[in-house]
Amino acid sequence: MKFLILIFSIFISVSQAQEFGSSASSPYANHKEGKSQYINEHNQDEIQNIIHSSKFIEFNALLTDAKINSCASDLRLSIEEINQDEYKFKNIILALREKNLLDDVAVFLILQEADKKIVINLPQKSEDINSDEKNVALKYFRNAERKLNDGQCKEDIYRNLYYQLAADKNKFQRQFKKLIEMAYEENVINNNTYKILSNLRKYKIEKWPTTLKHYFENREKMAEYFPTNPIEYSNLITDKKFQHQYSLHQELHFRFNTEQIALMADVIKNLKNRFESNNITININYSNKETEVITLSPMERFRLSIKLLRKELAILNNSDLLNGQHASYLDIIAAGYETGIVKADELEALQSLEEIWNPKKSQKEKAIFWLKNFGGMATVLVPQPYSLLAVLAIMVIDQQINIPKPNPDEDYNLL
Amino acid sequence: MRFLILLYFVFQTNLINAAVVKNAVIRDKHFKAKISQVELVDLIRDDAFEGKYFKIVLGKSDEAISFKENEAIQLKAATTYYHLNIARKFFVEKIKSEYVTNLPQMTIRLELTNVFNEVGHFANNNLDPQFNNALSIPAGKGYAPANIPKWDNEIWFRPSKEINIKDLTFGHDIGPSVKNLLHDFRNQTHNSNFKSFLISFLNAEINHIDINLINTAIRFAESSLLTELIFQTSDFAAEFFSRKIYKLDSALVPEIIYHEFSHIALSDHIELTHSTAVNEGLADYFAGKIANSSELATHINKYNLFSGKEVKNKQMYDLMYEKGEYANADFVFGILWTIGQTIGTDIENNFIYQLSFQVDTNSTIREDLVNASLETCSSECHSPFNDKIKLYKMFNNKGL
Repeated sequence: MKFLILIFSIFISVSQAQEFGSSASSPYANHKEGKSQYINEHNQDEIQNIIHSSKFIEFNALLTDAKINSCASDLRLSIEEINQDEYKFKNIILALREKNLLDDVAVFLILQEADKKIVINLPQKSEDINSDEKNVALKYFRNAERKLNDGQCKEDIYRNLYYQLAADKNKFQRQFKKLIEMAYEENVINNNTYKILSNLRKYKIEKWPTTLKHYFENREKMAEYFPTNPIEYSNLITDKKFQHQYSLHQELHFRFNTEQIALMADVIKNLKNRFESNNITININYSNKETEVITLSPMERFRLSIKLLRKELAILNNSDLLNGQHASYLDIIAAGYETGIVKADELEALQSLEEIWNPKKSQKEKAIFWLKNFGGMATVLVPQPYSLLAVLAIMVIDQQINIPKPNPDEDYNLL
Repeated sequence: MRFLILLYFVFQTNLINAAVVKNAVIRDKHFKAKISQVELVDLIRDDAFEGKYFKIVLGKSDEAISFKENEAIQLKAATTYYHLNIARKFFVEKIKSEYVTNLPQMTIRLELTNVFNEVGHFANNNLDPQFNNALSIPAGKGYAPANIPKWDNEIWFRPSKEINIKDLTFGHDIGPSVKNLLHDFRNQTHNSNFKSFLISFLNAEINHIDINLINTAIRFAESSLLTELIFQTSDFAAEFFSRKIYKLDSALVPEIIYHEFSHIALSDHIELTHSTAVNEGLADYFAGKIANSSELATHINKYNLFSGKEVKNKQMYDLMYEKGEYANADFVFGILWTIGQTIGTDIENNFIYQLSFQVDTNSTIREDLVNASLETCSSECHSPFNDKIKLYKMFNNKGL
C-alpha cells in the first residue's frame, strides 16, 4: 500500500513539474527573475544530473512540505537525509533554481544557512547585569525555550531572541554569550537549547540579511496584495552589477517588507501614469482675474515627472515608513517589477533613466578635471617662454569644463 | 490573344520599348559623385526626357528637353530624371504612399532663374534672378485674364553661378564667422586674467614683490595678449584658409533632387507655401533615406555643432536656430535622424512618414515636433512605453 501511495505521489509531482516545473507548488517558485547569478558552466553538469535523477522529485517534494519549508536548517537536514552525500548540497539547491522552483532570494537564504562560518569575536568587557535586567532577559529566554520545544525554526527563534534583547538594552547585545550561560545556569533553558543558541551565536546568525521564514511570509502577502501579478522573467534584477553584494531582487527582499515594497511601487506607478498623461497644466488662480492655465511642453512634462518622482521618493525616504532604510531609484523600479506594475520589458528603459537620475562624469570629463587641477600647478615649473602655451592649454580646458549658465532672457524651458 | 493583350498594354502605358541609356551624376560606394551611364525607366518618348511620371523641361518651356540638346543640359536632365524616379520608387514601394502613387506627371524645370509667383507662376524675368538652388512649388490655379494657365506641383532647379563668399548675405543677421565664435571665449579670458592679475598685484603690495608674483602677472598678460591676437586675426586667417567661391549646380546633386521630391511627396499634408524648420527637416530626412547613406546626417551633425546649434550649450544657442532659414537644413534633420535610430531602423521610415501627418508647415520643434514623435510612438513603436522613454531621454540629452 505504501508503495502505491509513493508511486501516486511521484506521479502527481511529475505531472506538476511538467506544467511549470512544479513551480505552482513551491512557495519560492521563481516568478520574476531571469538567469540565476549562481548557475554557471562549472556547476551546470552536476545540476543537469540532479534534475534527471530520481531524487530530484523528492527534493522538490520537500519544498512543498509546510513543516520544514520555511526553515532553512530543517530544509537542509531533510535534503541531506535524502541525498546521502551523493550530490553537493549547493548544486541540489541550484538544480531546484534551474527548474524555477526557487528564485535567487530563496537560494541565497538556504545556502547562507549551509555555508555558515564560525565567527570568533574578541571577548567583550564584562558588564554588570542587575537583578531587574536579569529578570527581563530571562523572560525572553523562557519564551525562546518554549518556541524551540514547539518545533519552530531555530534560526528564527535565535534572531528574534537576539533582537528583542538588543532592543531592550544595548548591553544585552554585547553580553549575549553571558546571558545564554546565565539562562542555562538559572535553568530557564535546557541543555539542548543552550547548545543550539551557543552554536548559532558562533555563526553570527543575527547578521543574516533575512531568513527563509521571513521571505516565505513576504511572498504570501505579495500574492495576496497583488493577485494579478504576472509571471515573467528579467535578468536585470538578478544581475549583481547594480549592487555590491546582492542582486536588485535580493536587495529588495532583504531590506524591505511587503508593505514597504508596495509603497515604493506606488511611486513608480505615479511616474508611469504621468509619462502616459495627455498633458500637464499649471493653473495660477488669481484673486482678481480668471485663472491662468500654462500647458507644459512634452519635455517639460517629462522633466516634471522626474522631479515629482524625486520628491515622492524623498518624502518616502524621510518618513518612518521605510524604517530608516534608504530606497534608491533602482529599488523602486525593482519594487514596481516585483508588484507587476512594471513589466519585464519596461525594466531596461526605466533603468536607463538612472543616467538622468544620477548623471555620471565621462572619462573625458574626469581626465579634464585632473589635468586642469594638476596642470595649473605644474605650469609654475615650466620656464617663461613655454609657460605661455601651457597657460593657454589650461584656459582651453577651463573653457571646456565650465558649463555656461543659460542667459536669463534665453532660458525658454520652464522646467 | 496574347499579342492583343500585349498591344493593349503597350498603348495603355505609352512606354517606349527600347531602353534609353544616358550619362548622369550618381554616387559611388564611397558617396563620391561620378558620371556614369544609367538606364532611364518609364520614358514615354524616345527623343526627349518625358516619362510616365516626370517631364524635364528647360526654363519656362513646356516642351520636354530633347535628346539632341547639348551634353551639359542632357546631363542635368538625365540626372534629375533618373534620381526623381528613384525617389518616387522609394515613396511608392517603401513608404507605400498612395498620394505619390497617384501623382500625375510632374513638370521639372531646369535652368530657371525666375522667382516663383503664386498668381503668375513665373515672376518677371528681371526680378531678382535666382541661382545655385532648387525649390518645389505648389500647384496654382492660374489667372485666366492674363492667359496664365493653371499648373501642378513642379520642381525648379536654378542654374549655377559663381559667387564670391564675401558677397553672400545672411538676411537680417550677420553670418557665422570664426571671430563671432571666439567672442565669448576672448571676453572670458580677459576677465579672468584681469581678476587674477589684480589679486596678484594686491598680494604683492602686502607681502612685498617677489619673483614668482611677477612671473604670474606676466603669464596673465601674455595669455591675454595672445588671445586678443588670435581673436583679431581670426577672420583673416579663416578667409585665407577657406574657399572663396561658392557655386552649386543643384540639378546635378542627387540629394537635392531627393530633397525636392520629398517636399512634393509630403505636400498632401505639409504645404509647400514657405520654408520652415519642420518641412525642410522632413525633406532632408527622406533625402538621406533615399540616398541610403548616413553621410548627410553625419555631415549635418558636424555643421550642427560648428554653428553653435548645440542646444545643450544654452549660452551659445539661440531660439532663432529653430525657425527661419537658420533651422532649414540641419536642426530638425538631426533630430529626425536620431528619432529613427532611437525607435528602430526597421520601422524608422514609416515612423517618420506617419509623424509627418502629426505636424504641419508651421509646427514648432520643441512643442509640436516632440509631441508628434511621442504621439506617433503610441501607435507605431514596437514597445511604446519603452521607446517613448528612449525618445524622452534623447530629447533631454539634446537639451530640448
